Amino acid sequence: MKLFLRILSVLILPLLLTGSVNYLIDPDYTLRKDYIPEAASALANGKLLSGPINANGRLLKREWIKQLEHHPEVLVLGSSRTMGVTQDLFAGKSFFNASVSNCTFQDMYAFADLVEKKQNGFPDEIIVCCDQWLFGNSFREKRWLYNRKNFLRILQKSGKISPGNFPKKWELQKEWIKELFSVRYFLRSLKQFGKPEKFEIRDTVHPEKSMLLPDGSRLLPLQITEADPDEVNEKAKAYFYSSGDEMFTQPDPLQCLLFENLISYLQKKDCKLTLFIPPYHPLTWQLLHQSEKHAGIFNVDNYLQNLAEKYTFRLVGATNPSALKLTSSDFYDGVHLKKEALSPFIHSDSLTQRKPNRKVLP
Amino acid sequence: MLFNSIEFVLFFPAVLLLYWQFFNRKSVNLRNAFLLTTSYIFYGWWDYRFLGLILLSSVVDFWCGKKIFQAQTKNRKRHFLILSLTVNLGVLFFFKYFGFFADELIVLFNSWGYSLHPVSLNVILPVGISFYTFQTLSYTIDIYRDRLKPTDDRLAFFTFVGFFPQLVAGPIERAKNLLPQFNTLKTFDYNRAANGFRQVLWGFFAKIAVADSVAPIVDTIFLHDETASAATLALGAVLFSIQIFGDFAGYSNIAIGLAALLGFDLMQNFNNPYFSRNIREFWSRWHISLSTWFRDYVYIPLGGNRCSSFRRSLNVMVTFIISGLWHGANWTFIVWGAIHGLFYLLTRPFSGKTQSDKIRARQWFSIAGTFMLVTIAFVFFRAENIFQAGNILMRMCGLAKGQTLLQLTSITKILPAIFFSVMLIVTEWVQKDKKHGLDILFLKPAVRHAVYYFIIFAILFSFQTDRVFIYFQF
Repeated sequence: MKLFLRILSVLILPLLLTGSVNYLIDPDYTLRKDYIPEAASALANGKLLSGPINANGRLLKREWIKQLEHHPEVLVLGSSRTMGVTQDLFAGKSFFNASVSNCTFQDMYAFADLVEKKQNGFPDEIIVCCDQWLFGNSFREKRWLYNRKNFLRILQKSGKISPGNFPKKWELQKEWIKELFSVRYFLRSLKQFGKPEKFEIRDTVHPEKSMLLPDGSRLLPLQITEADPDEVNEKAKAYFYSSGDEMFTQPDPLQCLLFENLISYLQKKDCKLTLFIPPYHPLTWQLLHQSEKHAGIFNVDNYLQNLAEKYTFRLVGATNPSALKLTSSDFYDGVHLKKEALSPFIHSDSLTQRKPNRKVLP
Repeated sequence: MLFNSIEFVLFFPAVLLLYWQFFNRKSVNLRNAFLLTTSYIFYGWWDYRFLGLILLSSVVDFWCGKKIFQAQTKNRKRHFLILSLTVNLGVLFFFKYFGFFADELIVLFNSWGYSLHPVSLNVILPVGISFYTFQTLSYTIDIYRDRLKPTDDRLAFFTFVGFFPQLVAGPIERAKNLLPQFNTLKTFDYNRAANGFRQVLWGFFAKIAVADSVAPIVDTIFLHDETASAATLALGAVLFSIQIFGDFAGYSNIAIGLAALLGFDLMQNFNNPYFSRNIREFWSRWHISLSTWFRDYVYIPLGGNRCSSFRRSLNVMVTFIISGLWHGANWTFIVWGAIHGLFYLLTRPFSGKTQSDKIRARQWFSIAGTFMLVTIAFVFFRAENIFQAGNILMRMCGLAKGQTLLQLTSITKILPAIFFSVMLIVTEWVQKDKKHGLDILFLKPAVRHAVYYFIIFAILFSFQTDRVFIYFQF
C-alpha cells in the first residue's frame, strides 16, 4: 500500500498539472464543448460563425441540423473538399451542406439519419463526395463515433453489415483522456494562454477569417484560397509525402460494402444521388500516379464508374485533374479545389455537361 | 489488451491492489486462479476466441509432460513428445505459415507449368502465438530430456502458460525458472516492487517516447523509398534500429517490471545489444530468451559445436534461418535470419571472447561496425518485400539523390524523435552495468524525482493510444 501511494504521489503531480492546464485553457476546444448549442442556434438562425470552426465539426453539425428551421431539399455529404459548396449553386431550393473535415462513410450515414429524423424523410437530392482514401484501409478517423448512434440506426435498417465491425464509442473517450493529459497539448495551451482563437457570431463575412455560413458551407480566408502559386505547388507536393491515407492498392471490401449499402439505402428512399469524385492537384496526382503503393486511388475511379452503371446515379469529377481540364491554379493545396473551380461540377445544371473524359483516366 | 492502452492503465492498478490485498494472502490456488483469470481477461480483450488456443496448448502440454515422465521406455516418451510438438507446431503452422507456404507452393508449381488454385483461408494471426508456443514446448522437451519434473499442479501450469505480463511478447520463460514461482505465496518486497515500477516506467519511455516518436518518420521514409536520397534512407534504417529496440526492449522492461510488482522474477531479455562488439556478442544481448531457446532446442540438437567445421557452419545457418522464419511468414524475415547467419560466420574469426569483457568507449570502432551490420540486416526486417529491401540498399550504396528527410517529414516530428532517441542511447550507455535505465537508486532523492518527472512528461508528450508493439505480430 505504501508503494502504491508513493507511485500515486509521483504520478499525481504531472497528471494534475497537465490535466488542469489543458482543461482550463483548452485552446483547440477539444476538451470542452459547451459553446456548441449557442453556436448551432446562431447558425440555424442565419448568423455566421468565425473561429476554430473545424473543432468539433460533427457535434456542431448535429446540433445545427436538429435546430434547422427549414427542410433541406439538397444535402451535401462530404469532407473539406465539398465544404465550399454553397446555397447559391442551387437557386430556389433549400439547401444544407453537412460536410465535415475528414468525413467518413459513417459520418454520411449519421448525417443522413439526422436529416431524416428532422424532416421525417430525405432531401430530394443528395451530393456525396467520394474521397478516394475512404475506399482504402489506411484512413484513420475516429471522430464519427460522436454520432455513432445515428450511424448505427441506418446501418441496422439496411442490415447487411454487422455493427460488430465498428469500434465502440469508448475509443473516442480514450482520445479525450489522452488529450487531457497530453504534454504536447499542455505546451500548446501555455503558448496560447490569454490569446486563444475565439468563436465569434457575426452578421457579415470577414475575409481574413475561416467562417461557417448559415447554409453549412465553409469560407476560408483569402490568404489560403488565394495563396501564391509556388506556395500552393509546394503544399501539393508536401501533401503527397505527408499523407498516408491514399496508401492502398485495391479498394477495401468492407469500405466498398459500407458505401454501397448507403447508396442503395438512399436510393430506396427515392433520393436523387450525385456522386462527386474530387480531383487532385496536378502535381499531387503526378506523384500519386508514379507510385505503385498508391494504385488503389486509381482503381476507385473504375470502381465508381461500374457502380454508377449498376445503381444509375450521376457521377461527376475524376481523380485525374487533366481529365477535367483543371490546372494548378484551380487548387489551393494538394486536394482542395477553389470554389469557382468546384462549382461547375456540383451545380445541378452543369452536372451532365462537365462529365470527365474517361479515356484519359489511367 | 496493450500495455500502452488506457484500458491497461485502469486494469493493472486494480489487479495489483486485489492481488496484494486479497488473493496473495492465504492460498496459492486462489492466487493462481486470480492470476489466470486476469491473464485470460488480458488476452481475451483482444479476441476471446483465441483463448481456446492457449487452453489447448496448456492442456496438451500438461498431459504430455506427465505422460513423458511416466513412460517407461524411450520410445514411448518420444511418442508423447512428438504429440506435443505436432499439436503446438501444427497450430503455429496453420495460423502463421499456412498462407505463406500455400502461396509459395502455387508459385513453384506454376513455374513448372502446373496450374494450382490458390487456397485463401483468411486466417487471423493470434497475438503472441509464437511466444507461448515456444514457452510450453520447452516444458515438454525439458521433461523428455530429464531436465525437469512435470508439475501436478494444473492451475499453476495453466497460469505459467498464460501469465499476462509476458504472455504475448515474452520474455520466453523456461518452466524451470518460472513454473516453481507459482508454487508459493509471494512476500511483498518493497525494494523489488519499487525497482519493478522504475523498470516499467523506463519501458514506457522506450516504447512511447522513443519508438512511437520514431515510427512515423521510419514509416514515411520506407513509404517513399523510391524517391528518398541515400542519406535519408540510411537515416531511416538507423532510426528503424532504434525504433525496434525501443519497442521490443521497452515491452520486455514493462513485462519484467510488472512481474516484479507481482513478486515474480522474469529473465533479462536485452542487455545493451547495440554496444556489442561483434555479431556473436549481439546475439547474446538481443532477445536473449529467444536466442537461448534456439541455442538449446535447435542448435545443440543439430550437433552444435561438437562436429566438423562445415557442419557447425551449416547448423548456424539453419538456426538463424529458422529464427528468421519464427519472426514471420515472409521472405524478408528468412533473408534477415540468413544475413545474420552469414555475418555471424564471417565475423567469427575476429570475434574472440568478448562477452565477459567490459564494454569500453575505446572499442567504438567494433561497436559502430556491428551496429552497421545489424542495421543493414534490419532493412530486410522492416521492408515489405525483399525487392524493396534490395532497392533501399542499392540506393544507399549508389549514393542516390532524392528527397531529404526534411522534405518528407516535418521538423516538429524529427526533433522530439531524435532528442528522445539520444536520451535512450546515452542512458543505456551510462547505465550499461545496471539492469535497466532507471536503476538510479544511487542518485539523491531530489535528482531521482526530477528524472522521474522528466520521464513521465516525455511519455505524456508522445503518448498515442493503442500503437501496437512490433513483436505482437510474431
